[in-house]
Amino acid sequence: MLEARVIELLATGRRDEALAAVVDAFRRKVFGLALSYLRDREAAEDVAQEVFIKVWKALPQFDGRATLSTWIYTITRNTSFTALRSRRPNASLSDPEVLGAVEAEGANSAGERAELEGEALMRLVDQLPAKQRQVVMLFYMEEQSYESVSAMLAMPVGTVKTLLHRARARLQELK
Amino acid sequence: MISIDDRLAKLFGSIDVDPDFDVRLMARVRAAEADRNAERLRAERQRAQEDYLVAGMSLERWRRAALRMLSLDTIAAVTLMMVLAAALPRVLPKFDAIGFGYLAAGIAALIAIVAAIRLLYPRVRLPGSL
Repeated sequence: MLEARVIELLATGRRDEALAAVVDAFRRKVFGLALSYLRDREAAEDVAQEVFIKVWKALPQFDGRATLSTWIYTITRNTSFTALRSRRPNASLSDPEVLGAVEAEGANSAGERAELEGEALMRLVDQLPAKQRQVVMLFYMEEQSYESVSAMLAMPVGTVKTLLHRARARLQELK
Repeated sequence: MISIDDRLAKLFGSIDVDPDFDVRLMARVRAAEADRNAERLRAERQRAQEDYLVAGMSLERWRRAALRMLSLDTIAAVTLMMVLAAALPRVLPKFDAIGFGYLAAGIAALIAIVAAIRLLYPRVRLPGSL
């Protein structure tokens, strides 16, 4: 279990290794969660780094009473809100930066047509209401786990399912 | 025909941080650590400076108190000497000048001892002190 491993590393003074273990387990989740709020890849990476720095600073006080995931997701949401308040208001998942990153990551397995389809789909997702958009993004990033999305967004699993159902229906309409 | 689920999974499934994320993170952690150490040093230096100021002020207070007590004790002793000088020849008509000199020297020595005790032990309350 990650919490036990982190506590053990902290007890032996290996704080950097504890951080590395946390980063390995949460890097993509924290980035995804931040990206779902900020819709800007660069800003999301910046928030993810800030989150791990906060975690690093607070690690010596970690005693395992709270689960790491709850703690880290709360920090991520709060840091994302702070970043949202101080950044440009009209960022979008279909911004060239975000699209470029998605296209670059998908380029190995998909052809030009698929890239264009991906771009079109991203624009459709971008038109969804904020909560639905977040749920869709995290659900498909997180290997389609309702529980994982529920923990990340601090909302009940039932709400995640409802939002996802509505989002799918809306995407079918928009298509 | 690919389902929307598959297309979304393909679209979002591959999103990840840049490959140099960890390197940049560790650089920021090191910078944060350096900032923290500098902040701690600054705080320690400031605390030492405050302690020094407090000690200096305390010493100055003690010095003023000692001087005040010394002045008051001296005034009292001088007054006493003047009274004695005026009264002794009448009380003891045969008390000659040499005797009076010894008496004055004795009183002066007493004043010096009292003043020294005052300076060395400022908290001791001597009988008759102001």
